[in-house]
Amino acid sequence: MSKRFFQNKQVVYSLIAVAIIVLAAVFAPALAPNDPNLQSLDDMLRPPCSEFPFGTDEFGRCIFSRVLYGGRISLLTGIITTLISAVIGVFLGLIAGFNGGAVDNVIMRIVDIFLAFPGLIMALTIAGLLGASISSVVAALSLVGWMGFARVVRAKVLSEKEKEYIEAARALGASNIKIHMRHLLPAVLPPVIVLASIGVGRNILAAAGLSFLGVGVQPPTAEWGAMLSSGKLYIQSSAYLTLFPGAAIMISVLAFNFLGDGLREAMEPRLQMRKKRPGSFLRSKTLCLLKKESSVPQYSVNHTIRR
Amino acid sequence: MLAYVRKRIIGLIVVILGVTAMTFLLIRLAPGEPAEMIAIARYGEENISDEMVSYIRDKEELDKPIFCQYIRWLQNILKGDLGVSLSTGEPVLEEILTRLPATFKLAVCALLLSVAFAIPLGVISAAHYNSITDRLTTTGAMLAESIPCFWLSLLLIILFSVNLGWLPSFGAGKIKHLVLPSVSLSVGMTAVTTRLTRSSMLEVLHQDYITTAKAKGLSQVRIVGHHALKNAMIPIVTIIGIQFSHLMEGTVIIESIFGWPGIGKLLVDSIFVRDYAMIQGCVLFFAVFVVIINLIVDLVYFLLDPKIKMKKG
Repeated sequence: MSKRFFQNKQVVYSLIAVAIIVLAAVFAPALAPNDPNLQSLDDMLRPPCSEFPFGTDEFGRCIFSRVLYGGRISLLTGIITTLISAVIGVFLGLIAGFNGGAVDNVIMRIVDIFLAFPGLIMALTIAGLLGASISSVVAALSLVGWMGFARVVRAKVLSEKEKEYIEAARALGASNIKIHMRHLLPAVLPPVIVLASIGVGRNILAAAGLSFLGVGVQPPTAEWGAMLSSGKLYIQSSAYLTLFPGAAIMISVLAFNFLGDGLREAMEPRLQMRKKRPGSFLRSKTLCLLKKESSVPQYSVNHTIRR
Repeated sequence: MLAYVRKRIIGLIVVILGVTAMTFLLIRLAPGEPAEMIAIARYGEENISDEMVSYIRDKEELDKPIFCQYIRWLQNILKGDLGVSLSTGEPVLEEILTRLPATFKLAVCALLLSVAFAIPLGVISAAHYNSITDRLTTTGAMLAESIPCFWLSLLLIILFSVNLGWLPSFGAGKIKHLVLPSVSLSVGMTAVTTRLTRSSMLEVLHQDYITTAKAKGLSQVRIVGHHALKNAMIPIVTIIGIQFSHLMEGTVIIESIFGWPGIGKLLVDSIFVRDYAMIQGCVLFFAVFVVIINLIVDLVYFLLDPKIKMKKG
């Protein structure tokens, strides 16, 4: 599986991009030319120069250093949030798919309720009500981000549990827990990895959006969304305040999106082989896009409601 | 068809109950004494006294169990009463209805704008598969999809308001106030719809009846525009419906940036003053709105695809 991933160019390039972003955040203390929180009245709102590559903000803090340090928070928020949603989603998806029946129905109904409401608005309300902080952002985004995982895992389990090797395992006397851990979990992992990669990008974006609105990370902590929000006030005179943090968000989101896209392509070898024929290639692309956008949920809603 | 609609409406009610109940629970979880928050919001931090706080607590019935508050709120909704804003004392429903046209105008503008660009771009891209136009469109769409809409709107303000001075960056009223917010809102949506239109068209263009149409000697324009597009529209309509949910997320951010007096801005403002009644009202509005849009999209399927009608009856 991993070999196939690394044969895909898009995966390799985007992995390199992600690695650079992660390394820049991890080694921020070594890379940053200045202290990100050091205020200096003499250096207020200075445009980019050799001393401050991205200029300084309204308190004379080095924007370049703040962008580097901000990456730590943004990446950490994105990754932790995605991990939590993945764990919730995989857990519920396994239960729903494996048990079927009423359990499945209840879980999928909850998924439908969560899906029917705009996630960011829910997250905004949750984070706002819990009080602006990084932990409420993580809590809020995890709570609205797990449904995709649950859906994918459930679908995979439904098709997987009918296969002979599961039956064989059961005939050998394997317990349900063992079947879950040894057989089903590894089977659902690949699509979960793809979803998680896109999820990290989406969560970085959402977390920055929440901080931008003021319900996330609070000043003086360096965070991309919060930097944009305070930079907005100086947009008339010092546009560079908003340029760099925004570009940082976009590049990170793009890197994770490309990674997810490439992984998905690598995961479906049939898709690669047929790549030259536009029709079939894009057919799976369409399906993927639909899946990714968690679309056609209305379909399943219909069916379940009818039952 | 009627039975189907009825079932969908039941599902719709379940969703609305679920979402509002969740908000109610969250309000219970929220830190801080609501009565005190309201007092601060209304009269300022220095001016409040304990009597004022307890008066507000009694009047708003904030000391009752959360479940009772929720049931009472539901009963009131059925009577068309969403309560009064905890911070201004104005009726919530009235405030939401006053703000509704603004949000609606912004959302519809963004939607039209994105459809107007996305469908032609997607169709051209698919018709010239793998050409330079196609590659530029796909790459552009990928970039546009990753751009944070709040950053994009700041960039647009820098360019068009600060540097060129063509368009206002704040407020509402004239048509020119609408331009920047709706453009910022539409870009991400345009990207997704373009990509989907392209792939959906490509898939259709590959089918046998298109070959037949070609063999009959129909012009490329007629094949693409008439035969293919009509069938490619089904997934496109779905994605536009799904995007409505994203559109609403966008309005919350965009309205706050541009000071657009819609419901998104109302929600953000209410969250900051902890105006629970107003937050509830806004959340209810968004839930109802998105769910109804989804219902409409599903009904449009019936019109577009007779096969679904037979299956679902």
